Amino acid sequence: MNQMAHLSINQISPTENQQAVLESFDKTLFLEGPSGSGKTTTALFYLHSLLEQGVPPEKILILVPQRTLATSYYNLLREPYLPASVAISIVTISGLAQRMIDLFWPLIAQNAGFAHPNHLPIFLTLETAQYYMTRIVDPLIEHEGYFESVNLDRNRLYSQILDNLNKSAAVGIPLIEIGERLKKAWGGKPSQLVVYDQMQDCAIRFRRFCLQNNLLDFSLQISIFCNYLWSSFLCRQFLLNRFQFLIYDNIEEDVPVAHDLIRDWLPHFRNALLIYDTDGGYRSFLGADPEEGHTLQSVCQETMHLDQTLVTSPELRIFNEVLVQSIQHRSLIIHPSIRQCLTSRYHRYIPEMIEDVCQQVNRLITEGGVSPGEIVIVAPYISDALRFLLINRMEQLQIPVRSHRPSRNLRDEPATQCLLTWAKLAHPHWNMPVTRLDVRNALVQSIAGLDLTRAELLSQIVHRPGKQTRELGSFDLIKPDMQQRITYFVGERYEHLRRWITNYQSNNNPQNEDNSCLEVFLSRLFGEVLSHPGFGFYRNFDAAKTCTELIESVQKFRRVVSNTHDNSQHSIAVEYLRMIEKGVLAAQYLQSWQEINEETVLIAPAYTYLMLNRPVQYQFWLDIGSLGWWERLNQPLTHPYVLSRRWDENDVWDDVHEQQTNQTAMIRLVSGLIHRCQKGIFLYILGVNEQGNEQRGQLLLAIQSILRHLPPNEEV
Amino acid sequence: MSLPPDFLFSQSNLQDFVDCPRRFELRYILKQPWPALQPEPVLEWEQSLLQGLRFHQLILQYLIGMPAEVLTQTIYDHKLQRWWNNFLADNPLGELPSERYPEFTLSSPFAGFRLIAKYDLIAVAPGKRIVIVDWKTGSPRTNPNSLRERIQSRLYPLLLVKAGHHINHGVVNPEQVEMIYWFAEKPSAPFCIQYNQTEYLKDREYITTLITKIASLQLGKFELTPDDRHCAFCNYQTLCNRGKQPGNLEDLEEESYQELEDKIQIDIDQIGAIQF
Repeated sequence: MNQMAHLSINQISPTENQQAVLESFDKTLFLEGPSGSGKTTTALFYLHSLLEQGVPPEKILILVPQRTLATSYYNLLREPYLPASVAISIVTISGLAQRMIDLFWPLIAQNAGFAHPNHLPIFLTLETAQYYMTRIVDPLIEHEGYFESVNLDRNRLYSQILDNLNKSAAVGIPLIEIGERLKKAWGGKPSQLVVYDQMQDCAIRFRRFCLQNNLLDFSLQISIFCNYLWSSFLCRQFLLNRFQFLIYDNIEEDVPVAHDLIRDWLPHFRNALLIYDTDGGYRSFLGADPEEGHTLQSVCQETMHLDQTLVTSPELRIFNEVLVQSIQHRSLIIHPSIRQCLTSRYHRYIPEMIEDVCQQVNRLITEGGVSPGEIVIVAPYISDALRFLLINRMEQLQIPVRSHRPSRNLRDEPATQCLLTWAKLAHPHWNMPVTRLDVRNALVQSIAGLDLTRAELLSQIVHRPGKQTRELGSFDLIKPDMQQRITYFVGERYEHLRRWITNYQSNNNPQNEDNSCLEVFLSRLFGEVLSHPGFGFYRNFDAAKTCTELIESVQKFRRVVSNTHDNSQHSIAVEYLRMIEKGVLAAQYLQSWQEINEETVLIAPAYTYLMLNRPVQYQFWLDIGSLGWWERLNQPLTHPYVLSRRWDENDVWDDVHEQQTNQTAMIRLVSGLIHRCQKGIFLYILGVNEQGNEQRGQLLLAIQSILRHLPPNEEV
Repeated sequence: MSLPPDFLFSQSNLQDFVDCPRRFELRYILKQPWPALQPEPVLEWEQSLLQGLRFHQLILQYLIGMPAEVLTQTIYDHKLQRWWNNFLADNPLGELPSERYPEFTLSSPFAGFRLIAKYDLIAVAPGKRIVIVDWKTGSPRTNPNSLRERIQSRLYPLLLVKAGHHINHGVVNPEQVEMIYWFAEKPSAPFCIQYNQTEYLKDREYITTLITKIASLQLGKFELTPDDRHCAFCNYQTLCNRGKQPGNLEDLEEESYQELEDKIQIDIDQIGAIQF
């Protein structure tokens, strides 16, 4: 963990143990320790020291399992006091794979089985991979009865098949064996077995489709890199010549094939520092394998331990020990001092809990002088409703706040829906239905100051979905008394918008592909109408951001799909809109992970917060009775533990496995959180949760066992 | 001061400041996304930028040892084929020193911040000669002086002198440095800049003054350019009330083209790997 979240490396001195690491040159070193013991800080000192000694920076490779885990390195390399240098490569295994495929494609494409080796590779994003999966899976569901017994949202079904492809590549299990492996481990009703067969069939069809069309999803990128490029002389020599110094951080969060690669590569490095967090493994459900990562210790020349946490207070360290004992149902040795770092609060309903959380946060900031960036609010999952209520109340209290989710639901943004409604109306030949409600909402968004009542009146008059013509009616033709009710101010703006659409349609030359290009329409509508005075997006920077992201989403989709599709912009636009409506696209818009204002209270799912690797002074754990702290997600088409190298293929998954893995995962989760907390934790117990249930999960039971032995609450 | 201390200055953001301080503020300090009106015809414009990127990629592949005939087989586009043929026929690498660093990034502390630049190619004869090569795929240059005045032509050699000691195996003397703009459409007419100590001192002074000025400005004090020619292809055109019609591709001057080309290059680099 990074002890210098707020300090520059030149403002602190290395500890004795850290100094010992800095003196370990010309060897491969395995550094392990718990979260918060200063491992990443040691790596930053190490990197700084390499640069100061004149090591050619282009020879240094920094490998991390996820880009957020590289933040400390990026921050260091931006420091003005660092010497002049060449940029250092900071990559993830998938980033490295993609870069190498891009460079060496002509050498391996044919052998790897691509149908068009002389054409370029097309890299798929999460969105576009899901899109192609729909094209494979939907006909099988609709015409061949696939997945009839599975009660699961269609998009989660696609993503679980993709997850299996990814695990196959990341773990190194042949793709054709995934289904069989899941079947052998299944101990429940036999009807599930056919589901695994169908999943296997879909995964293979998807892979074939990718090979036919030069498409590379994450799984294929990793497979190609590990199986073809790493063994290709030219690529291997390129990498071996290029890099001589390695820092590999958070190896416990990486996937087994990344560990295999480094095991093979390690003897070729002059220096290497491998960093292992003994509490980690939070990405196990994504294929990370901490045990496999730890085996890299045996190929390093030296091992060093950093045992003492530099973040957590003594009381919190005791709380961690006691909580682990309690989760494991061991006898508890409780020191009353842990009360100093804990505040437990009970509320029957969510609104009361939210009010209390916000008041406590406000008190910490205003009375305790705590920086908002030193506070995090976590829960196993953060629903949209919970997020909205928390953010809303915090904003009322003028508390700077941000919600960190890996993705946001772009398609549900009112600005997105508004823009897409006008796009459908402006292109009647696309035959995309538009309801009166759509028009009403688009009017509210588009015209400044228009309220819902007037928008309803206007939409009823100007939009007649049943009529043959889909043109919007003119305000000038509305009866004067109704014009007056709607107001002439609104009418004038509506007419401006309507005429703009009419002009757009009349200038729409079908020979010009730009005219059917959805993002051209969106940027013109925004730039020529909606962003001007009197319209809803005027100086509306949130709407501008949404519009920019929507345009990017459309562009990325178009650039990929135009390679495998009927090439007309018309059909691509229609396909995009169809996919939006199905929730396949723009549902998981990945936000920039770099542009984060850290001086804000963070609201995040617990695992997301852990992967930011950023300690804070205070944590708020919401709804500790929730089963989400204990249970894993329902994934009927995949299984994170069966599809791992830890799994014995002759075993059958049963309740004992479930109990053990849940317990291990929860201990890892709460210890990870505590190790990232400096001063205090607020524990919130909820009577009735969002679904109206009273949940008494294992975390609540474990904490109650502790609280019973403690004196009553004192404020932190 | 409105800049964070770890702000990175590049040719792209410095050029933005020179063209329009308000654009710099919106883009790099406020980080305000704003949908751009793109030059029309949009798809042709995009195609042309992607061809430029692909051309850079081909040269990189060639420089790391991929055979030219293998690479030629991957080209299905007439314009790209023409550029590639021009490259092979003109052989701009022939005269260059033998140590080559393609797609190379240098950075250095400067005026209290860091400067950063990504070079298409640096060719080095250590201790003797260092040549910066920039592949240009925009429309052929019309005015060499305007190219010389661009930030890129000042920053790239300056930064190489400051941070290139690793690849030169010792301090870089400005007299060692040359910069070549090689034009894919006009391979016979590259634009060459021979650097020297006087230019180095001038550029150092110029960039220092620029950075000091930017760093001294408070938010809200970054002024809109009085020269609205810079607005025609700026994505903030509508935000600043500088018109609401996108520029036409035919009117795009070479500098603007190169500037936009740099932008899309960065954007495409930022298309993240799938988060797994």
